[in-house]
Amino acid sequence: MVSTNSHFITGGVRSGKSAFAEQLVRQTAQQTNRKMYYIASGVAFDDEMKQRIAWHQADRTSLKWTTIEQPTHFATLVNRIPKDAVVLWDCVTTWLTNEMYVQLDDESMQWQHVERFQQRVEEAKEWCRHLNEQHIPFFIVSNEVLDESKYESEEVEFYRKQIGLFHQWLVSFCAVAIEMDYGIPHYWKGGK
Amino acid sequence: MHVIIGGAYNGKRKYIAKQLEGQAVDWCDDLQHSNIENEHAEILVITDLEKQIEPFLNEPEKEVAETFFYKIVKNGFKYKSIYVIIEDIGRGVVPIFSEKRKLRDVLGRLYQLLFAESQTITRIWYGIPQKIK
Repeated sequence: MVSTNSHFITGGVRSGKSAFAEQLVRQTAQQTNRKMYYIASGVAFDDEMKQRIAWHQADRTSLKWTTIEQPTHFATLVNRIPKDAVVLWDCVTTWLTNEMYVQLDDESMQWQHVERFQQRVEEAKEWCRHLNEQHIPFFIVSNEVLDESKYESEEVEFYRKQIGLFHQWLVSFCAVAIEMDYGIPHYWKGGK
Repeated sequence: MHVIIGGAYNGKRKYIAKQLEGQAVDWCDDLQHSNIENEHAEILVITDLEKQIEPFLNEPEKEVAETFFYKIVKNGFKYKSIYVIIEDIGRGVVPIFSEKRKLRDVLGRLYQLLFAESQTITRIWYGIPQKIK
Protein backbone atom coordinates (compact mmCIF):
# COMPACT_ATOMS: atom_id res chain seq x y z
CA MET A 1 0.00 0.00 0.00
CA VAL A 2 1.27 3.45 -0.84
CA SER A 3 0.05 6.29 1.29
CA THR A 4 -1.51 9.20 -0.53
CA ASN A 5 -0.33 12.27 1.30
CA SER A 6 3.08 11.58 2.75
CA HIS A 7 6.63 12.73 2.18
CA PHE A 8 9.95 11.16 3.14
CA ILE A 9 12.80 13.69 3.15
CA THR A 10 16.41 12.73 3.73
CA GLY A 11 19.85 14.20 3.17
CA GLY A 12 23.29 14.69 4.64
CA VAL A 13 23.99 16.80 7.70
CA ARG A 14 23.14 20.52 7.19
CA SER A 15 21.67 19.78 3.77
CA GLY A 16 18.64 21.94 4.55
CA LYS A 17 16.28 19.00 4.90
CA SER A 18 14.51 20.23 8.05
CA ALA A 19 13.98 23.73 6.64
CA PHE A 20 12.66 22.27 3.39
CA ALA A 21 10.31 19.90 5.22
CA GLU A 22 9.02 22.72 7.43
CA GLN A 23 8.34 24.84 4.38
CA LEU A 24 6.31 22.01 2.82
CA VAL A 25 4.35 21.60 6.05
CA ARG A 26 3.61 25.35 6.24
CA GLN A 27 2.37 25.29 2.65
CA THR A 28 0.12 22.32 3.36
CA ALA A 29 -1.17 23.96 6.55
CA GLN A 30 -2.04 27.17 4.72
CA GLN A 31 -3.58 25.55 1.67
CA THR A 32 -5.71 23.05 3.57
CA ASN A 33 -6.28 24.98 6.80
CA ARG A 34 -4.62 22.41 9.05
CA LYS A 35 -2.85 22.68 12.39
CA MET A 36 0.88 22.03 12.40
CA TYR A 37 2.17 19.27 14.66
CA TYR A 38 5.87 18.76 15.24
CA ILE A 39 7.01 15.37 16.51
CA ALA A 40 10.45 15.95 18.00
CA SER A 41 12.60 12.89 18.61
CA GLY A 42 15.81 14.66 19.59
CA VAL A 43 16.94 14.39 23.19
CA ALA A 44 19.30 17.04 24.56
CA PHE A 45 22.19 15.09 26.04
CA ASP A 46 24.75 17.92 25.90
CA ASP A 47 24.93 21.69 25.45
CA GLU A 48 25.52 21.53 21.72
CA MET A 49 22.36 19.42 21.33
CA LYS A 50 20.42 21.93 23.48
CA GLN A 51 21.61 24.73 21.20
CA ARG A 52 20.65 22.72 18.12
CA ILE A 53 17.15 22.12 19.47
CA ALA A 54 16.83 25.82 20.40
CA TRP A 55 17.67 26.80 16.79
CA HIS A 56 15.05 24.45 15.43
CA GLN A 57 12.52 25.83 17.94
CA ALA A 58 13.35 29.44 16.97
CA ASP A 59 12.81 28.50 13.32
CA ARG A 60 9.31 27.39 14.19
CA THR A 61 8.19 30.36 16.29
CA SER A 62 6.95 32.47 13.38
CA LEU A 63 3.94 30.21 12.91
CA LYS A 64 1.96 28.19 15.38
CA TRP A 65 3.33 24.72 15.88
CA THR A 66 2.26 22.20 18.48
CA THR A 67 5.35 20.31 19.56
CA ILE A 68 5.15 16.77 20.91
CA GLU A 69 8.35 15.38 22.37
CA GLN A 70 8.39 11.77 21.32
CA PRO A 71 11.82 10.19 21.66
CA THR A 72 10.49 6.60 21.62
CA HIS A 73 7.37 4.45 21.71
CA PHE A 74 5.17 5.61 18.85
CA ALA A 75 2.27 3.39 19.88
CA THR A 76 1.47 6.01 22.51
CA LEU A 77 1.25 8.71 19.84
CA VAL A 78 -1.55 7.20 17.79
CA ASN A 79 -4.46 9.01 19.48
CA ARG A 80 -2.71 12.31 20.13
CA ILE A 81 -2.90 13.74 16.61
CA PRO A 82 -6.19 15.41 15.64
CA LYS A 83 -7.77 14.78 12.25
CA ASP A 84 -7.16 18.35 11.08
CA ALA A 85 -3.39 18.15 11.67
CA VAL A 86 -0.43 18.17 9.34
CA VAL A 87 2.49 16.33 10.89
CA LEU A 88 6.25 16.75 10.72
CA TRP A 89 8.45 14.09 12.32
CA ASP A 90 12.10 15.07 12.78
CA CYS A 91 13.90 12.76 12.72
CA VAL A 92 14.08 9.01 12.14
CA THR A 93 17.79 8.60 12.94
CA THR A 94 17.54 10.09 16.45
CA TRP A 95 14.38 8.10 17.15
CA LEU A 96 16.06 4.84 16.15
CA THR A 97 19.05 5.65 18.35
CA ASN A 98 16.70 6.36 21.26
CA GLU A 99 14.88 3.05 20.74
CA MET A 100 18.18 1.18 20.66
CA TYR A 101 19.32 2.61 23.97
CA VAL A 102 16.13 2.24 25.97
CA GLN A 103 17.46 0.68 29.14
CA LEU A 104 15.56 -2.37 30.38
CA ASP A 105 15.10 -3.57 33.95
CA ASP A 106 18.09 -5.88 33.80
CA GLU A 107 20.23 -2.93 32.56
CA SER A 108 20.56 -4.37 29.09
CA MET A 109 19.75 -2.18 26.09
CA GLN A 110 16.69 -2.62 23.93
CA TRP A 111 18.70 -3.26 20.75
CA GLN A 112 20.07 -6.41 22.37
CA HIS A 113 16.53 -7.80 22.37
CA VAL A 114 15.82 -7.90 18.68
CA GLU A 115 12.16 -8.96 18.89
CA ARG A 116 11.31 -6.23 21.33
CA PHE A 117 13.19 -3.70 19.21
CA GLN A 118 11.39 -4.85 16.04
CA GLN A 119 8.10 -4.42 17.88
CA ARG A 120 8.89 -0.73 18.41
CA VAL A 121 9.78 -0.33 14.74
CA GLU A 122 6.45 -1.95 13.81
CA GLU A 123 4.67 0.52 16.10
CA ALA A 124 6.21 3.43 14.22
CA LYS A 125 5.06 1.91 10.89
CA GLU A 126 1.62 1.38 12.41
CA TRP A 127 1.51 5.06 13.40
CA CYS A 128 2.29 6.04 9.80
CA ARG A 129 -0.47 3.76 8.52
CA HIS A 130 -2.84 5.27 11.08
CA LEU A 131 -2.10 8.83 9.88
CA ASN A 132 -2.68 7.67 6.34
CA GLU A 133 -6.06 6.11 7.20
CA GLN A 134 -7.07 9.37 8.89
CA HIS A 135 -6.01 11.27 5.73
CA ILE A 136 -3.59 13.32 7.83
CA PRO A 137 -0.70 14.54 5.66
CA PHE A 138 2.70 13.79 7.16
CA PHE A 139 6.34 14.59 6.46
CA ILE A 140 9.17 12.47 7.80
CA VAL A 141 12.77 13.70 8.00
CA SER A 142 15.83 11.47 8.21
CA ASN A 143 19.60 11.45 7.61
CA GLU A 144 21.80 9.77 5.04
CA VAL A 145 24.23 7.68 7.06
CA LEU A 146 24.97 4.65 4.88
CA ASP A 147 27.57 5.91 2.41
CA GLU A 148 30.65 4.77 4.26
CA SER A 149 32.40 1.47 4.90
CA LYS A 150 31.35 -1.22 7.31
CA TYR A 151 32.00 -0.76 11.02
CA GLU A 152 33.66 -3.33 13.26
CA SER A 153 31.15 -2.60 15.99
CA GLU A 154 28.15 -4.95 16.04
CA GLU A 155 26.08 -2.15 17.54
CA VAL A 156 26.79 0.30 14.74
CA GLU A 157 26.19 -2.31 12.04
CA PHE A 158 22.87 -3.19 13.71
CA TYR A 159 21.94 0.50 13.64
CA ARG A 160 22.96 0.90 9.98
CA LYS A 161 20.96 -2.16 8.95
CA GLN A 162 17.86 -1.02 10.84
CA ILE A 163 18.10 2.49 9.35
CA GLY A 164 18.48 1.02 5.86
CA LEU A 165 15.50 -1.29 6.25
CA PHE A 166 13.30 1.42 7.75
CA HIS A 167 14.24 3.89 5.00
CA GLN A 168 13.40 1.23 2.39
CA TRP A 169 10.01 0.80 4.02
CA LEU A 170 9.41 4.57 4.17
CA VAL A 171 10.35 4.99 0.51
CA SER A 172 7.91 2.25 -0.50
CA PHE A 173 5.15 3.59 1.77
CA CYS A 174 5.38 7.33 1.18
CA ALA A 175 3.95 8.94 -1.94
CA VAL A 176 6.94 11.25 -2.31
CA ALA A 177 10.60 10.52 -1.47
CA ILE A 178 13.14 13.34 -1.60
CA GLU A 179 16.90 13.47 -1.13
CA MET A 180 18.21 16.93 -0.25
CA ASP A 181 21.53 18.00 -1.64
CA TYR A 182 22.56 21.21 0.14
CA GLY A 183 19.28 22.96 -0.43
CA ILE A 184 18.35 21.32 -3.72
CA PRO A 185 15.72 18.57 -3.58
CA HIS A 186 15.99 15.49 -5.76
CA TYR A 187 12.65 13.75 -6.18
CA TRP A 188 13.34 10.00 -6.24
CA LYS A 189 9.67 9.17 -6.08
CA GLY A 190 6.53 11.21 -6.78
CA GLY A 191 6.44 14.72 -8.20
CA LYS A 192 6.22 18.18 -6.74
CA MET B 1 28.81 -5.77 -17.68
CA HIS B 2 26.29 -3.99 -15.48
CA VAL B 3 27.10 -2.19 -12.26
CA ILE B 4 24.68 -1.73 -9.35
CA ILE B 5 25.91 0.81 -6.81
CA GLY B 6 24.47 2.22 -3.60
CA GLY B 7 24.99 2.73 0.12
CA ALA B 8 24.87 -0.13 2.61
CA TYR B 9 21.47 -1.69 3.36
CA ASN B 10 19.78 0.11 0.47
CA GLY B 11 18.21 -3.00 -1.09
CA LYS B 12 20.71 -3.54 -3.93
CA ARG B 13 20.59 -7.35 -3.89
CA LYS B 14 16.85 -7.43 -3.45
CA TYR B 15 16.52 -5.17 -6.50
CA ILE B 16 18.76 -7.26 -8.74
CA ALA B 17 17.26 -10.58 -7.59
CA LYS B 18 13.87 -9.23 -8.62
CA GLN B 19 15.17 -8.00 -11.98
CA LEU B 20 16.65 -11.42 -12.76
CA GLU B 21 13.74 -13.43 -11.36
CA GLY B 22 13.12 -16.67 -13.27
CA GLN B 23 16.53 -16.68 -14.98
CA ALA B 24 19.40 -19.05 -14.23
CA VAL B 25 21.86 -16.99 -12.20
CA ASP B 26 25.17 -17.78 -10.50
CA TRP B 27 25.88 -15.67 -7.42
CA CYS B 28 29.56 -15.29 -6.61
CA ASP B 29 30.84 -13.74 -3.36
CA ASP B 30 34.36 -15.15 -3.69
CA LEU B 31 36.26 -14.75 -6.96
CA GLN B 32 39.21 -16.83 -5.71
CA HIS B 33 37.15 -19.94 -5.18
CA SER B 34 34.28 -19.42 -7.56
CA ASN B 35 32.04 -22.42 -7.10
CA ILE B 36 29.90 -22.46 -10.17
CA GLU B 37 26.66 -24.06 -9.13
CA ASN B 38 24.56 -23.88 -12.23
CA GLU B 39 26.06 -25.19 -15.46
CA HIS B 40 23.43 -23.57 -17.61
CA ALA B 41 23.48 -20.18 -15.95
CA GLU B 42 23.89 -17.32 -18.39
CA ILE B 43 24.15 -14.57 -15.81
CA LEU B 44 26.79 -14.01 -13.13
CA VAL B 45 26.20 -11.72 -10.16
CA ILE B 46 29.32 -10.70 -8.24
CA THR B 47 28.96 -9.41 -4.67
CA ASP B 48 31.04 -8.66 -1.57
CA LEU B 49 34.09 -7.14 -3.28
CA GLU B 50 34.72 -5.03 -0.16
CA LYS B 51 35.22 -8.18 1.93
CA GLN B 52 37.36 -9.90 -0.72
CA ILE B 53 39.75 -7.01 -1.15
CA GLU B 54 40.52 -6.60 2.57
CA PRO B 55 43.34 -9.24 2.72
CA PHE B 56 45.25 -7.47 -0.10
CA LEU B 57 45.45 -3.97 1.33
CA ASN B 58 49.20 -4.13 1.90
CA GLU B 59 49.82 -4.33 -1.82
CA PRO B 60 49.96 -1.27 -4.11
CA GLU B 61 46.56 0.33 -4.62
CA LYS B 62 46.58 0.36 -8.40
CA GLU B 63 47.73 -3.25 -8.73
CA VAL B 64 45.10 -4.60 -6.36
CA ALA B 65 42.36 -2.71 -8.19
CA GLU B 66 43.57 -3.96 -11.59
CA THR B 67 43.99 -7.55 -10.39
CA PHE B 68 40.43 -7.61 -9.12
CA PHE B 69 39.12 -6.01 -12.27
CA TYR B 70 40.72 -8.77 -14.39
CA LYS B 71 39.44 -11.45 -12.02
CA ILE B 72 35.94 -10.13 -12.51
CA VAL B 73 36.29 -10.04 -16.28
CA LYS B 74 37.84 -13.54 -16.37
CA ASN B 75 35.13 -15.03 -14.20
CA GLY B 76 32.55 -13.52 -16.49
CA PHE B 77 33.87 -15.03 -19.76
CA LYS B 78 31.46 -17.96 -19.90
CA TYR B 79 28.40 -15.84 -19.14
CA LYS B 80 26.21 -13.74 -21.38
CA SER B 81 26.18 -10.95 -18.84
CA ILE B 82 27.77 -9.98 -15.52
CA TYR B 83 26.22 -7.86 -12.80
CA VAL B 84 28.57 -6.40 -10.20
CA ILE B 85 26.98 -5.15 -6.99
CA ILE B 86 29.16 -2.57 -5.25
CA GLU B 87 28.82 -0.56 -2.08
CA ASP B 88 29.40 3.16 -2.20
CA ILE B 89 31.66 3.81 0.78
CA GLY B 90 33.55 6.88 -0.39
CA ARG B 91 31.31 9.55 1.11
CA GLY B 92 31.74 9.18 4.84
CA VAL B 93 34.17 10.78 7.20
CA VAL B 94 37.82 9.94 6.41
CA PRO B 95 38.44 6.86 8.58
CA ILE B 96 40.97 7.09 11.41
CA PHE B 97 42.55 3.69 10.61
CA SER B 98 44.87 3.50 7.62
CA GLU B 99 43.51 0.08 6.58
CA LYS B 100 40.04 1.58 6.21
CA ARG B 101 41.37 4.51 4.22
CA LYS B 102 43.24 2.11 1.97
CA LEU B 103 40.09 0.07 1.40
CA ARG B 104 38.23 3.17 0.24
CA ASP B 105 41.10 4.11 -2.07
CA VAL B 106 41.41 0.67 -3.67
CA LEU B 107 37.65 0.31 -4.10
CA GLY B 108 37.45 3.78 -5.62
CA ARG B 109 40.02 2.82 -8.23
CA LEU B 110 38.33 -0.50 -8.93
CA TYR B 111 34.94 1.21 -9.27
CA GLN B 112 36.40 3.59 -11.85
CA LEU B 113 37.55 0.62 -13.95
CA LEU B 114 34.16 -1.08 -13.59
CA PHE B 115 32.29 2.11 -14.47
CA ALA B 116 34.37 2.57 -17.62
CA GLU B 117 33.81 -1.03 -18.70
CA SER B 118 30.09 -1.41 -18.03
CA GLN B 119 27.24 -0.74 -20.42
CA THR B 120 24.88 0.31 -17.65
CA ILE B 121 25.30 1.69 -14.15
CA THR B 122 22.35 1.83 -11.80
CA ARG B 123 22.36 3.57 -8.45
CA ILE B 124 19.95 2.13 -5.87
CA TRP B 125 18.49 4.44 -3.24
CA TYR B 126 16.38 2.50 -0.74
CA GLY B 127 15.10 0.22 -3.46
CA ILE B 128 14.59 2.89 -6.14
CA PRO B 129 16.81 2.59 -9.24
CA GLN B 130 18.42 5.53 -11.05
CA LYS B 131 20.28 4.95 -14.32
CA ILE B 132 23.52 6.89 -14.23
CA LYS B 133 24.97 5.37 -17.41
